[in-house]
Amino acid sequence: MGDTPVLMIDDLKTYFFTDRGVVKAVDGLSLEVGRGESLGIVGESGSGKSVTFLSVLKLNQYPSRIVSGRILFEGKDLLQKSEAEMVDLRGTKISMIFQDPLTALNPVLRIGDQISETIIFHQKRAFFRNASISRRVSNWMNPWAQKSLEKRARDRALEMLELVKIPSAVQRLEEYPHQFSGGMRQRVVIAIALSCDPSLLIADEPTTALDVTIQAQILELLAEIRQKLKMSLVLITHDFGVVKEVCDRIAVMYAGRIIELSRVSDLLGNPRHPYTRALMECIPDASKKKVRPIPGFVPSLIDLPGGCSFHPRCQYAMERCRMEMPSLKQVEERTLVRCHLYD
Amino acid sequence: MENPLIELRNLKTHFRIRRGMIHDLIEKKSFVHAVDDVSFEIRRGETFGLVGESGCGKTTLGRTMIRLVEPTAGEFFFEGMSVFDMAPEALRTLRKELQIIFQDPYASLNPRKTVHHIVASPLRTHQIVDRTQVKEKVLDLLDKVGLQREHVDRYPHQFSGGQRQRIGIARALATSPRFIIADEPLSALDVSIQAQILNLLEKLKEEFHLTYLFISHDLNVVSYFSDRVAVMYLGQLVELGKADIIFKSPAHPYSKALISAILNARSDHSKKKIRLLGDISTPIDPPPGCRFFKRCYSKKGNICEDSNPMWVEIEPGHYVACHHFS
Amino acid sequence: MVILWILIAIFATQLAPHDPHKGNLFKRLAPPAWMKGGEARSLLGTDHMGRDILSRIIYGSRISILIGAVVVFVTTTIGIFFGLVAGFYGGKLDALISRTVDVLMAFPYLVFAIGMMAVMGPGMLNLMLALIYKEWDTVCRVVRGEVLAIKKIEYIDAARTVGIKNARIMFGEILPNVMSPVIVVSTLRVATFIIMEASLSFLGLGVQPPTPAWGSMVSEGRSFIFGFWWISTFPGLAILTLVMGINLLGEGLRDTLDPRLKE
Repeated sequence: MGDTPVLMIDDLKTYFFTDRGVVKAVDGLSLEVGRGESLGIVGESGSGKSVTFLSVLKLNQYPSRIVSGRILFEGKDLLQKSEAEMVDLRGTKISMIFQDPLTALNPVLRIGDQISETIIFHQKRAFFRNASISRRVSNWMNPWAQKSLEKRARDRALEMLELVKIPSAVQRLEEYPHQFSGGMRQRVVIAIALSCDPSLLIADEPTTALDVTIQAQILELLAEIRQKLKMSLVLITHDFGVVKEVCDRIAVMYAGRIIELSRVSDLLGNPRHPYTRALMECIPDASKKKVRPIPGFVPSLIDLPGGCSFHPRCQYAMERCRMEMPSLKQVEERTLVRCHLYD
Repeated sequence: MENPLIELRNLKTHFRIRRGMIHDLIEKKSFVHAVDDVSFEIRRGETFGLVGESGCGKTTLGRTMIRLVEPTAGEFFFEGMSVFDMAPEALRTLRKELQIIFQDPYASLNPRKTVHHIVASPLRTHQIVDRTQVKEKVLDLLDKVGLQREHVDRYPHQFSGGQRQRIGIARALATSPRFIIADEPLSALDVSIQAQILNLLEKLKEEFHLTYLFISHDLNVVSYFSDRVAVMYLGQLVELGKADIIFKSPAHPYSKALISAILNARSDHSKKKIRLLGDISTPIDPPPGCRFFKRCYSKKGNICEDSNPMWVEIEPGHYVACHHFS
Repeated sequence: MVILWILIAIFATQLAPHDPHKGNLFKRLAPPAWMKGGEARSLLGTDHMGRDILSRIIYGSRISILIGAVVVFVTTTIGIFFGLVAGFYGGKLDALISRTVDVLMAFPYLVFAIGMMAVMGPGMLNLMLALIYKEWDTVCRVVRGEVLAIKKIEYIDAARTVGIKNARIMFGEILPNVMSPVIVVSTLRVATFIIMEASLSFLGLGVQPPTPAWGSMVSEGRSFIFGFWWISTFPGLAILTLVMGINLLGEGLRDTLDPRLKE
């Protein structure tokens, strides 16, 4: 991986400032996503996985705020950028899709319009950002400018629907979201996300709300698109099986930090961190191997335990674990673990 | 062989779709065939898993059994008694034996009532113990499900999802039922909490000699927890048999596709994957013929479109509804 | 502020300096105490019959509050009952109740009240009956809406599977969850009724003279408004302050009740 990573997060801290106290949703997170690479982020609720990527897009809403750190996208620090610059990036270079395709689509607009809308919006912004005065005037005087823009957007929308394998795409452009099933809607959402050719797609639990057979279709689609467009993908999920299908590397998060990061096959075959191990042992499957729940509860993010956040529940906990937070260290090539067992 | 605890025969639950006064008067009636001619047995002490994707009718089936929804046709025998023919009073008494755990831990508990009230209400309704002993029995139940006694006077919103689910379980156990329908009890919970509740359900099954109907769309959980499994698609059963057989060598094309779509960190990915095209069809006014016809990748011929396949026993205890076998 | 008025109403007999009914014709049309020609005896002046305005206002508060409270209480009870039944049972019963409510809602409030009073004749009791007769529709609507929403939530199904009887479910499980918006709406409606009463008395349909009621006081003072403004103004101010106080109370209630539930 020679060139600059598409995304590099350096010691990100995002906190929620609530009446009850400061919720340290993301507390010192660092990771990298290479060009064309697919990274899976696995964690349970409260681990901070979604908040991390909302922070990348600077979509944090009150009462949350990015407190410190750097987020480098294609080498440039996003935290230094203005909101206007972020708007230019969102939907174009960095796209995000979410869990529920039903609420992601506007029920009163046609599908074709929803896809074109993004394209037209960004085209116009780009035009007005870059164009010289004379070009702007000639554009204003051209009565067909809008129409031709709309046509181009339409063609692109059709292209996108075909890319996500929606049959009879031409008719489907004119239809409304309620005429599509859950899986189809998620495909449309992906089409919108890809319409402006992003270098990074962030997918937050994209298949959690879908049936098993549909989930399989969507994951296959994502893997294919990634190959075709040489796009980087971040897939946030709680399901190891999903990550195994689509990702090159996995990062496991707990209480706002990454506790293990390595290649998929390495991590699944030989999980290092006690939490990762315990999590994998909780998952039932047909082998009927006894499921062993993790003792204790996920800690409150307002009141984290001292030292390593996982130590109260860890069967290997040592004295040191109570006192000192371990740092994320490389234990093998491309394998990082945050645990005193490996220091 | 011992008499089965539960016996379902030709159960049908259809819902009429209303489209507006004029439409309803003029046009032919439309029905959602949520459950369409389902028959099976559940034996004493077993965990019977029911799987399927959205729209297959598994939740409606559970609710019909417990009469939250009225059946359209068919029979349901509990210990040989016909449940659908029962008078309201007899039905209320039956509710002691047949309980349900709901999917959503946030919606299944009345937010205005304390834990004590919620768990005590079945005790009081059926007068299981007399007044003075209610409190003690409630505390006892809380112990059994792993909740702290001190929390008995708290309100649901003060508990986490997993704890709320435990309260729901305590409520279901209050009348010492023989049969519990668990309708997606783990779906709303985190992975590590799911494991806790799963272990709890196992423990309780042994301690109370329970029989479970475990309804879920999560195939991993069902494969782990069930003795026998039935697969549903669009209101009908397509396959039924012992859990290990169904998951290792499914016979019906739909079961095959479903099981090959299961993703698991430990699973062997070299196995061939079957990908279904298209979406799940709707259970509204289904055409004659096999329900799976539109998405089937191994159709036998015209017969699949024209007639609904028969339920056939291909091995002892292993049943399939597919023209390849009839 | 509301509490102040309630206290005044309760202790009216002690507070009022004069008998509100008896007038001293010699002292008629005397201005409030701080103006020229006024006396300390009649702090807010006297009306055209010589009756002390302050006392009348004080006694009038009783009427206003009484009417407001009673009407609200009765209509709320009726409304809750029908709303619960309509929402819970649905079907034909619901259709029947809902259509009735729709018909009632179609009438503009004041017109209906005036109509009823015209038929029944004036007087306090009739006034209350007229208001009650019309008003339960709003509460019923609100309650029914809430019931429909709550009916779908799983804990109602859970109650049914436990074997609880329908009536118990309605009153035991659903009602407590419905109460919060109802309480808020009811408090605000008290204010509406007070104004209703005032309007009807103003029109001469409500409480009859010589019983003091704020609305009729304002009405009586109409002819004198240019020279003797105090006869209408002070009762008007009384109405204003009480209603405003209630509205604020209602909003305050809404704010404290709601987030606490969703905590």
